[in-house]
Amino acid sequence: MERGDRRRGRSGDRQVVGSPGSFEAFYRREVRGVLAVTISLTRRRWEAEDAAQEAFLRAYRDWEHVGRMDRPEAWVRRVALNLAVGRWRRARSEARALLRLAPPEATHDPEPETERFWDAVRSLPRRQAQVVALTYVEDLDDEGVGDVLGIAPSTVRVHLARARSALAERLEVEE
Amino acid sequence: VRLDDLARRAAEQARRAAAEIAPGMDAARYRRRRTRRSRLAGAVATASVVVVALTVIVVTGSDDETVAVPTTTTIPDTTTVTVPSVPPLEPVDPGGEPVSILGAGWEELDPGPIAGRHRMATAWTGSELFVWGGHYGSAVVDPPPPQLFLQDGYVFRPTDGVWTPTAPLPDGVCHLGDPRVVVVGDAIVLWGRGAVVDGCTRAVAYSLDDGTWESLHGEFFSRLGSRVSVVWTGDMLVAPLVGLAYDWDSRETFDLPAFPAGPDDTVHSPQRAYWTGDRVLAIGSGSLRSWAPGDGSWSLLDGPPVPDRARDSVWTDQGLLVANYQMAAAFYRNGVWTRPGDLPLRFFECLPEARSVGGTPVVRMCSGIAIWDGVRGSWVPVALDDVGNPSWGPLVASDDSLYVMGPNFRRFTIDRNPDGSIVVPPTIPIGVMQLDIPDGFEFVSSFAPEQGPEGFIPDDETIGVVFESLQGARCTVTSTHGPGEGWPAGFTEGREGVQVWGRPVVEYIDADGTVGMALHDPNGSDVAFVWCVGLSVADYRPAIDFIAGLWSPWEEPVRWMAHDAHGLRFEIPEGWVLAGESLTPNLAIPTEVFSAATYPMRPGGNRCAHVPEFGIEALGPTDAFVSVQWGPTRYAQEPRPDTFTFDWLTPAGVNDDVRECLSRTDRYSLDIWWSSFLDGGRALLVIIALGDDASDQTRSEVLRILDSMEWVGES
Repeated sequence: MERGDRRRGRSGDRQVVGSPGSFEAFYRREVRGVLAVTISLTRRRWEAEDAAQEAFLRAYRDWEHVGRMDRPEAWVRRVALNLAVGRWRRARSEARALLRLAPPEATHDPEPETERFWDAVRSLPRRQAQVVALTYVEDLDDEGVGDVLGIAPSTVRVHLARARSALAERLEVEE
Repeated sequence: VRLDDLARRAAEQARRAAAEIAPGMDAARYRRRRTRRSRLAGAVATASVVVVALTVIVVTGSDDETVAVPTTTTIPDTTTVTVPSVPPLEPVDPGGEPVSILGAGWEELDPGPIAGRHRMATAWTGSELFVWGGHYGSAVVDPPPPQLFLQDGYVFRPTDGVWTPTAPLPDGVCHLGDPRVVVVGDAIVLWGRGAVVDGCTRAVAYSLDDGTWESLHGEFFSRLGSRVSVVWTGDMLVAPLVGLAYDWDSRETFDLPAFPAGPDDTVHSPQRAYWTGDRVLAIGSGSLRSWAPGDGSWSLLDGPPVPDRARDSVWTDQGLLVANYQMAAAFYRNGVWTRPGDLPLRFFECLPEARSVGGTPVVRMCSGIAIWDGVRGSWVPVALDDVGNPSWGPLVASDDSLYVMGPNFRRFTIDRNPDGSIVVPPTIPIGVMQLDIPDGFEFVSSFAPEQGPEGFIPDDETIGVVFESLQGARCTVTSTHGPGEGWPAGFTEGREGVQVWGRPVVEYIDADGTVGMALHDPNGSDVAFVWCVGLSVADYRPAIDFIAGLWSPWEEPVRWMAHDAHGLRFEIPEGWVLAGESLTPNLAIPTEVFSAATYPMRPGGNRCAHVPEFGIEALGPTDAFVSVQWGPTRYAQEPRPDTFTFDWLTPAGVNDDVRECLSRTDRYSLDIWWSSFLDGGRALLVIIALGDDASDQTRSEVLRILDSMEWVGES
């Protein structure tokens, strides 16, 4: 399924159609994209992997249902994004003491400028962070982002505008 | 730089990272995890059916069901009883278990025939410990009923721990309440409070040679009472307060020069007398008095530079030690008073008890024991034998040990390092807390604020202990009375770091980058502060070890209440809320037995019948929620574990099935367990929800609630 296909209908992932395809094929096709967005929203590699893995596990466990959805890739992305943001916020408090003990685990060996960007994204409200990740990492338009997150394109635009404004201010760059 | 350019570069890097990671992830792993989780999933999925009608359903007819499911969907009125609990202020560790200080230098001994006694007459002869009489019953009755003083006696040999009876006290002895004892060569002299019966014998002597008793008569002994101090000079007994001496060989009484006028013996500063080898020293609440045989009068010397109220004294290798109830300490030797540093113990309204353990100065207070280490030139704080509880038993000093002979019979042996310094036990008191010393650190010294002649120094009550490691780290642990004053000048508050007792430890940092950590005692009395210097990296690692080694023996334990519902008895801790009605009103099978949380709950939900959606709605970051349902045995496969753990609960759980029934937006970041087990022919299903910041204490309470469940039958 090409990316353009995913931009149909907001609630497409909830529609149950036909018979499920191969989970393995679905996984091979989507894992990089899902990982890319979880990487952008988590600080450590294991957190990104864990969020993606958990999302695929949920898809697999209920593949009879998820696999019949019109847009299972949107479903798995939404689950992964929710997990990634939740994990990041929780891990932040758990990690405070550890951060004093040792340098943070080098997750993705990011460039300083890149890491600074994603740190700023992670500091955004949850929905804004998800919109930014999907917009830039997945290169989705407002409708595509709305598909994944289950929100209207107009709402996506509002979140994206606020996020860009906040990021430009925090990163001290031109919007 | 434009935002879009930056974002595109960041996105590209995220995609590259994903491309690197993805090949290492294998779709097959989900099959393995699925298998592990699947056992319960099928069973509990049945429960996800919304049952609209609150019908009365009895499950029968299945071969594997031996007990009927309760026939109502509402929780009956629970009956509540108080769980017998340890009394308040029983020492507990952060996990709630009673503390045993044994092992921190104290050893439990067989109390033998003196078990349960208190206020006995005790004497150390250099090789054996003699005990006579004492009372049974309440140790806190003051004075104890006179008729309860016992007459039997025993001798304890430390070398083999054997108790042997002695001849009992002779009949006709005056009441020996608050007994006083003096060892006079080959005999032990006893006397006590005084007459109860006219014509009774005031004092008796026990012969160490033949084990017989001798009644002592004459003017000297007729003047003795429990408040009169008597000192043995090697050939005579001297009683400064009554102005008499008694020659042991000739059995004659002599007058002493009149004792200088003025208050010297008070209830809280009783007069003590000591033989220095050439003269008698006497001190109580007043100045130091001195008299040598042949002197025509007592000499009045300078008093100790410590407040006179509530103080005790003892003659030691360091000279005369005087300590008062405010931890002030002073030594008198060769005509000079010195201050060795005040006792590094926390103040309680408590009388000091000074002892000499083979010449080593020791003081017991209600917050701990301080032993003078002449090699280190510092007091070593030592935990009480029964930390957290008042010690009513006599404190007896032998040549190398302290014995506590009260509710327990325990010994603390003062061991020495090759250089003569004292071996510091692994646990020591620091303020109102106790400190388990981390491995690799050696005690260096202690410090305490010095009390002035008038008493407290009001502004700084910080006491502390300094440790060093072989690697050169030097860590200081302090305890300050009063919250908010636990860190020294120069440190500024940083962030919250590690957690101890489920509470964040605030970090502080000074201008040199030294990290300190502050921890409040649970009862709010003290704040401990730890900082370490001397390491090239990570100064805070040992600081964390020290801060984690602190524990409070004074924390009041959580009270637990037992409740019965549907024949199931369970306990919840004080502070938890028990749902007064079913939180799953649309659920018939299984049936909710009880729900409890650390916050108020409300019943109902819009999504699933079996999940108390609204009950979990208000769960906050530090909260916990537990709900137990009772269903047919087909709902469970695993037998109930001996003890519940989150690890045990996790593999069997289908936790997302609960999450998906919640409407909270953060439901996927909540810690949720849904598990089931077989117990007494019944299947019990458990739903647990924990906030992100639920403390270890709260988590342990969740497990204890499950562990407490017991079938007691329908009432």
